Amino acid sequence: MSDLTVAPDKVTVEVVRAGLIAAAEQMATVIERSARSQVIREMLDYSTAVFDLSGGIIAQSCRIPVHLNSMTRALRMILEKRHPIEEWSDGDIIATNDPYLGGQHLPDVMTFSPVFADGERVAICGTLGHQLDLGGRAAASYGADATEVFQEGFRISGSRIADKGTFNQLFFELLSANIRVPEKTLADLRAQIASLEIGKSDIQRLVKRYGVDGFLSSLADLVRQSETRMRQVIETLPDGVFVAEDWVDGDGLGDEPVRVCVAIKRDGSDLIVDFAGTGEQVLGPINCPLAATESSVYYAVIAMLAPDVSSNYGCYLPIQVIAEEGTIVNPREPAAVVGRNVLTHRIANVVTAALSGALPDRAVAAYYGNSNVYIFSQRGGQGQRKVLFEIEVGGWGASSRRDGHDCLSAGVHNLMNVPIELTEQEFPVRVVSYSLRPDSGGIGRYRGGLGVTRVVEVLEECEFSSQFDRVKFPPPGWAGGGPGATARIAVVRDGKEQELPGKVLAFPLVRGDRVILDTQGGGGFGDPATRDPAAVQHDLVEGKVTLTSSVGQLHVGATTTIPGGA
Amino acid sequence: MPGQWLVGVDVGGTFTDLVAQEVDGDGHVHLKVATTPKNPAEGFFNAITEFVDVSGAARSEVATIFHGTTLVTNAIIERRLARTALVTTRGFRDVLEIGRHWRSDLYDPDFQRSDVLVPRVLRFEVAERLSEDGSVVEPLDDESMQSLLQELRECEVQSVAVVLLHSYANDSHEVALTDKLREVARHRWFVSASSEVVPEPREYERTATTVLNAALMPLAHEYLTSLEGELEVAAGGCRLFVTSSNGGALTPAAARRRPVTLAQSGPVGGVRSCLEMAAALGHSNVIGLDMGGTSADVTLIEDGEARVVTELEVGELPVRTPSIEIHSVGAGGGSIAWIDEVGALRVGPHSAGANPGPACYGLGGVAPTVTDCHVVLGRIPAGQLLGGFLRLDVEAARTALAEHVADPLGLSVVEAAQGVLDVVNAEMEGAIRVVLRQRGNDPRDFALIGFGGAGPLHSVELASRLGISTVMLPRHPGTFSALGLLTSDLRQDFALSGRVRSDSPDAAAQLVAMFSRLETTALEQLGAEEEFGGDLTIDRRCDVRYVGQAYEVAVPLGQGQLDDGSFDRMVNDFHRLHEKAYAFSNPEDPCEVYVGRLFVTTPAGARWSEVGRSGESPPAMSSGRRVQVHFDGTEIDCPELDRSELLPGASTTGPCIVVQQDSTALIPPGVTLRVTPAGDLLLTDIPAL
Repeated sequence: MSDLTVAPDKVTVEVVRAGLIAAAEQMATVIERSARSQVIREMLDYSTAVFDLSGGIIAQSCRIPVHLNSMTRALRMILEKRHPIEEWSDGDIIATNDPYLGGQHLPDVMTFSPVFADGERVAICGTLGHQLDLGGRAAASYGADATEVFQEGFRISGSRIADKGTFNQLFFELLSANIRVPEKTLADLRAQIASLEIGKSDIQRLVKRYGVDGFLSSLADLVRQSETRMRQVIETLPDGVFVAEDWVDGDGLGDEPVRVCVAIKRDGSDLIVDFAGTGEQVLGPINCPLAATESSVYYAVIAMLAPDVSSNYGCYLPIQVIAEEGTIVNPREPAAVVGRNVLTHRIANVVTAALSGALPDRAVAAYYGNSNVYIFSQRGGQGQRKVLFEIEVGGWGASSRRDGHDCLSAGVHNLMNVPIELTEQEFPVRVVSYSLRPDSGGIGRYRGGLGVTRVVEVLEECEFSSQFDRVKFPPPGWAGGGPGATARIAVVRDGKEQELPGKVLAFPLVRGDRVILDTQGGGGFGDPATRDPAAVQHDLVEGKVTLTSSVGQLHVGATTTIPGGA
Repeated sequence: MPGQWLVGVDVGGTFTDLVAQEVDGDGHVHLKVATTPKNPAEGFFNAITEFVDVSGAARSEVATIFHGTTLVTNAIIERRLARTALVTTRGFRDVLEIGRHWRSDLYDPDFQRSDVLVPRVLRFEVAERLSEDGSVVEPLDDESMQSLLQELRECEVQSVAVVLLHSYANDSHEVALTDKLREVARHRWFVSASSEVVPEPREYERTATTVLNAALMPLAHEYLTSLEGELEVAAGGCRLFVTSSNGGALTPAAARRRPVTLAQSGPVGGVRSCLEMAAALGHSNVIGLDMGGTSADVTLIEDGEARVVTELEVGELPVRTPSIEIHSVGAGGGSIAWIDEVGALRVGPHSAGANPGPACYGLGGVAPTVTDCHVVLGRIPAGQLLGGFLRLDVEAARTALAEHVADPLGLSVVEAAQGVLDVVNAEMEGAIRVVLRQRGNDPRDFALIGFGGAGPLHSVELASRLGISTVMLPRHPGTFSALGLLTSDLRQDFALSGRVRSDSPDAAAQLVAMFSRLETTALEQLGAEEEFGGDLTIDRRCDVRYVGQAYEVAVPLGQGQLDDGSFDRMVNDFHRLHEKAYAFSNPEDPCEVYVGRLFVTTPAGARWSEVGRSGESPPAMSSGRRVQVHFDGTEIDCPELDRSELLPGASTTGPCIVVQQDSTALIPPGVTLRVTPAGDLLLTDIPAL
C-alpha cells in the first residue's frame, strides 16, 4: 500500500505536510499539558517545530509568531558555530538561549534534537519555551536596569545537554543553582524534552512510509512552494521606496527616545527591508538581537502580503533584512536584551506602516505595539520566591475595512491572560477591576481598538516591576485617523496617586497599595468626519466612547450628526 | 412488553434518524426522514408518523423517546440566542468581552472575532467580593441589588446570567442574588447562576458557559414544551428524555435548567453505540469514526470508557461542562479538492455540503469532492446516494476531477481521485494521532468502528495508516447514532471545587469529607426527581494535578464508598495516569485534588443485547455482480456483495465491496470479513501501512 505508485510528487508532498503538522501539533500538546509555570501553562508562551538538516523551519504548531520565525537562525548558528550536523548523534539534545547565537532573550530556552531513520539523519525537532525565571538580577529574569547580558540570567550557548540519550547532570546542577524557581523551570524543561521524543517518533514513521528520498524531496518541495508564493505576491508590489518611522520611549535607564525607521523596496521578486537610520544600541535591556528583528520583519511581511501562505523558511528566502551591527535592531555583545519585545512590536508596527503605504487597500493602523510585561514578586522564607508574571495586551489598529478589535493579542505575539481566580490563588493580590478602557481607541472613519485597565491591590508586602512602552509615543493612526491612547502605570497609596514610568524595577509595595495598569489603544483609520453616525452612537451606548473625555468629544464632534447622550 | 416501544430519534443536519425497539418483543425499525431545519420538531414528528406507518404500532404504544438534537449546537453556532443580561462582581463586567486574549489565526490582519454574547450595555455589576477561599471580603450590598433589579426591569431581557468572582468556593452571594431575581421574575425572565452550571475556577470560561446557558433557556423551554405537548407527556402518554453532551439522558426539566449541556447532544448517540458494540465484541480500546457528508467526528474509548472532558468548544466559545470527548477531524464526503496558487494539491476546508453537493449529485455542483473520487473509483453503485433519491452522474464526477485536479497536475482522473483520497486520509490520520497523543495513547492498541454514510469507505484505509488491525462496521452505519440513544441511562453530574493537597496531614479525611458533601447535595437534589427513584449508580472521580500545574488529570475513584485508603490509591493512580498521558511523572512532588465529581445514573433505556439489529431488510442492491474497483491505485475485478445477504456467521476475504442503501464498505485485498452473531461486520488481518 504505497502512495508512491500514484502521483509521487504532489500527493506525497501533501501527505508529508499533513504528517509534519501533526508531528508539530503533537509536540505542542505534550508541552501544553504538562508544563508547570503559568507562563507556559496559561499564557501558552511556547512553540514547537520541525526543521530540515540545514536548520530551516519546515512545519510548526500554531503558537507564537516571533518564536517560530527566529528558531531557524538559532539552529543554523548552532550548526555553524558549535556543533556541525555530522556531530549530532541519536539521543543528543542541544539547548540554547543565547541572544548572541541566534536566540532572543535568556528566558526563551530552545531545545533541539536530531531525528534518525535507518541510521541516517533526516530532520531536527525543536521547541521553545518561555521559562518563568532563568536567574539574573531580577525576578522572572526581567531586569529592567540590566546593562549587560551577563546580568540577565543563566546563559546556555548551544550546549549539548544530553549526549546519546544520557543527560549531562552537571548542566542541570548548574542551572538549578542559578535560577529562582528551579522546580517549575526544570519541570517545564522536562516537558520540552519529552516533546522532542514525541516529534521524533512521528517523523520516523513518516520516513518509514515514504522512504528517506520521498521524505527529503517532500521537505524541499514544501519550501519551494512557500518561496514561490512569497515571490508571486512581492512581484505585485509597486516600484518605489516605502518608508516609516516610529519611536520607543527609552531604555528605562535614561529618558532618551530611540528612533526605529525602515525603508522597504522591491528588487525583482526580492523584498529589501533596510533599517538604516535606526538608533544606536542602548545601555538598558531593550536591544533587539538580529534573530528577533528578522523574525518581526517576517511576521509583518507575511501578515500584510500572504497571511494564508504555508509558513516555513521558504517564506523568508525572498526577504533581505539590512540591520547594521551596533544599532538597537542588531546589538553587539554584551548588550542587555531581555526587553527586546519593546522593539519586536515596534518593528512590526513600522514594517506594517511602510507596506501600508505600498498597499493602500490593505493598509492597517498601528496596534498597541508592546508586550506589556508586569511582575509582582515576593521573597518568602528560606530564599523561596513567589513570582507573578503576566503580559497584558491592548487594542488593534483599525484598517480600511473595520474597527480595531478591543483588547486582543496582535502582531508578533499571541498569548492568553491568566484567569484572575487563578492569579489570586497563586499570589497575595486582589484584582479590583479588569475592564475595557473607554476612549483609548484612536478616532477615525474606523475606530482603533480599546486598551484595558487592570487595578491590582496587594495584600502583602511585595515588589513591582514592569516593561511597558508607548507611554510617551502612542500607536499612530493611518490615513487621517487619530492615535490610540498611550499606556500608563500608577500606584495609589493612602488615596494619593503616583504615576510610575513604563519601565519599573522592583518598586516596593505595601499592603493596601493599588497598582493601576492602563494599556494602549489601537490607531484609528481614515477621516473621523466620515465615520458612520450609527457606529458613533453605538460606541456611546456601549460606553466605549464617552462624552466626558476629549477623545470622545472629538469623535462625536467629527461626525455630522451629534447623537444624544448615552 | 409487546405493544410498547422504545424509540431513539436523532435529529441531524440533513436527516432525522429513528430507531425503535419493541419492549420484550421482536419488533425493530430503522428509518430516515428529512430534517426540517426551520422547525426541527416537524421532522421529529414526521419520523414518528413514519414509524407508526412502517411498524403498524399505534402512536399510544410509543412508551419512551430518547432524543438527540442539534438544536442547541446550531443555536450557538448561528448565535440564535435570547436577549440576555449578565450580572457580575463590581469591576468585572468586561471579563466576558476581554476573554482570554488569544487569537486563532496568527497572521490574518482581517481576522474576525466573534461577537460578544452580551453587549456592554446589558452587563451589570453588583457590589460584593469573595476571596479565593470563599471568605467574604465585601458583603453583597442590598442597595446595589435593588438598583440592579430596577435597571434590569427597564432593559427587557429574556434571560439573566449571574456570575460572581470565586463563587465556586462559596455560592452564597450568587444564591441570594438568584433567589431575588427569581422571586421578582415570575415569568419575566429566565435566570442562570454560574454555581449551578459550572462550580469551577476560571472566570472567563465560567462566565461564557453560564451566559450561553441563560441565553439558550427560552429556546430550550419553547422546544421541549412543544414536544411534550404534542406527545402528551403530562397526560402520561409517553416519556421523553433528551441526550446530554455527557452521553446520559436528561429529563426535560433538567434540560430546561441546563440547556448548555445539550451542546453536543447530536453526536453522542454514536459514542454510546460504539461503547456497547466494543463491549459486546470484547474490545476495550476503540476509535469511533463517524463520517458523514460534511464532517468526520472521532471519539476514543479507552479501557471500555468514553473519555470525558471538562470543556468543549462550540462556535468559538468555551462550554465548560463534562462532555464526552468528540473531535472533528475535518473531512467529509463533500470536502472539495483544489490546486492552490503554487500548484499544490489541497483538500478542504471548503465543503460542497448537501446542496449543491458533490458533482456526481447532478444538482449543479462543479467542484470535485471526496465523494466524487469514490464514484470515479467505482465504489458507489448507482441508486445509493441520499437513500436512493438521486441518480448518480459518474461523468460529472470525472469532468470535475479532470478539470480541477487531474489536468493541472498532469495525472489521469483515476490517479487524481486516488491522490485526493490519500491526502484526505493522511489528514485524518494526522488529526487522529494528535487526538490520541493528547491522551498518551498508541493507535496500535485500538480497534476502529466506522459509521455514518462515508465511514465504511474510509475505515480500512485509515486503520491501515494507524497500524490498527481490526475494524468493525455496524449493520446500519447510517442510523448507528439513533440506535445508541435507545440504550441511554438517565444521568446527572455534580461537581465541587476544593484544594485537597497530598502534603496536607489530613488529606485522606478531607477527600472523604469533600465527597460526602457532594453526595449529600446530589441526593438532596435528585430526591425531588421521580425518575431517579430507582437503582442509582454513583461514579466518583476527581480532577487532580501537580501543585502549580495547569491541567488536571481525571482520576476515577470507583463506585464504592470512599475509605481511609482511598486517598493514597488515588495519588498512586494519578502518578500512573500522568505518566501515561505526558511521558513523565514526579511521584515525590505534591499533587492536589482540584474538583470532585459525581456522575449519578439510573437505567432507563434498552439493553444492547436485547436490541435487535437485523430489522427490515432493505431492497437488494445487487446480486452476485462483479465490479471494477480501484484499490490504492490498482483496478481490480471483484465481487459486489449485498449487505442484506451477509448473514451472521458468513465470512469472506477481500477484495470486495459491500453495498447497502446508504453506505458502501471497501474491503481491500487480504482483509478477512466475518459477520458477527449480531449481524455486524468484523474485519481483521488489516495490513499496516
